Amino acid sequence: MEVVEVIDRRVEEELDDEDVEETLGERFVGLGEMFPDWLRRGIVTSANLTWSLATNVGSFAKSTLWIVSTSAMIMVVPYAIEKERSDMEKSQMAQQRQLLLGPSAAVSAAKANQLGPY
Amino acid sequence: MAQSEPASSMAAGQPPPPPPLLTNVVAQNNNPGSYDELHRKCKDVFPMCFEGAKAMLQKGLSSHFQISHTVSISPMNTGYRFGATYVGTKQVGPQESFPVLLGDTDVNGNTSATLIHQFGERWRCKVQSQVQGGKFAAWQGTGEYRGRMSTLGLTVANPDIISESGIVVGQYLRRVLPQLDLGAELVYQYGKQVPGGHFSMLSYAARYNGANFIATGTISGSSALHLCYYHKQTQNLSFGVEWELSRRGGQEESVATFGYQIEMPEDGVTLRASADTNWTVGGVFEKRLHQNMPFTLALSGMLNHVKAVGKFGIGLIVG
Repeated sequence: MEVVEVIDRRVEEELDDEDVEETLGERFVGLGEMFPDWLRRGIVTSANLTWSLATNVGSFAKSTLWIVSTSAMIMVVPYAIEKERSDMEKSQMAQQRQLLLGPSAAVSAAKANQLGPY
Repeated sequence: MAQSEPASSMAAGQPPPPPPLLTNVVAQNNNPGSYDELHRKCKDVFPMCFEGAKAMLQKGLSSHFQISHTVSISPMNTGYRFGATYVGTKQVGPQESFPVLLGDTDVNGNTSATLIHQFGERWRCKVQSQVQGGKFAAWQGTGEYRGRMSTLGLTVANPDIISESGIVVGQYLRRVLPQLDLGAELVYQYGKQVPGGHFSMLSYAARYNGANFIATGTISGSSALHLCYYHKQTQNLSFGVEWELSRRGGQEESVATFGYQIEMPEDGVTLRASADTNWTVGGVFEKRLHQNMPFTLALSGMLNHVKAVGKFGIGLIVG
């Protein structure tokens, strides 16, 4: 109680920084007042804008990724897997031929299959 | 699917030989084909998605007679269907023989049947009928004259003398330039259920046959527009784009679809996939399970991103 009275009296006269009791947070907020009003408003607006932009971009990226990946699973992946399997089978055949019949056979086999040497 | 391609054109890195990719489109005697099949080349690229499970057994009893058994299990229709096909001895083209008789029936007796026959060189007729629940549900007959440069067709559907109703369709398609076909169709419907007693609609169609693409368009009255573009990139890869615009009762509907078909003939693999502006993607993947055995596995997937609905199907085709 006494302290409050003291502060009140002081306020009436003049504020002295060292005697005002405030938390660190309050001090920090108070520091902002050294910038002009328009600058502070600008910073707040731009911070809000950045945040909403980031969340929008994030959710957009999320749904895009989801749509693209699920669509690809239906539209592309089955063929890609099959293609991979077929290519591998062909190269294995070529390799087998090379082991059995020597390099020249492998080259001719590869030509027949239109693959590289391996 | 069973095209046996020489392995040389399968090269991944090499450009395919400059091909007459679309030879089959330009029919031998410049006949533009039937009006109904204008958009077919493009439509064939798009997948026929199915839901649930189905098994199909096709068996050729002789070179002219084939039967098929189909068992399907899906939310839409579960049941068994039996089909029979007879192809006659009159050979017209490399792939065409007449008469053709097709029949299809399920356990409840719902039957559909089709008879196609060609008289002489130019006249072709087609009769289709459908029996549902012991009654004739629908039938239609088509007569077609395939001239040197044009096709003339007349279709009568569901004519009913007693209640005076029916649909008459006249079609004309003509090859104007070697690449350009133009056509028109008149649909006339009459009957008590039609507002005003009569209804008719005139449609115009055009098709351009390019070296490796086909562009088709149909305008029906002032209510519908249908554009298709089919592009054959290589022997095994083709694209299709379709745009459908319709206006009915002040409500406009516009759907664009992109689809493609890619094949590996030597492995018996076909993938058809499509994506449209309703956020629906679909794909049907078919694979021959063994080179020497007639088993084909089909996988179907369809996904709508807006409704978050997916439909998947699996099928086995024997024969």
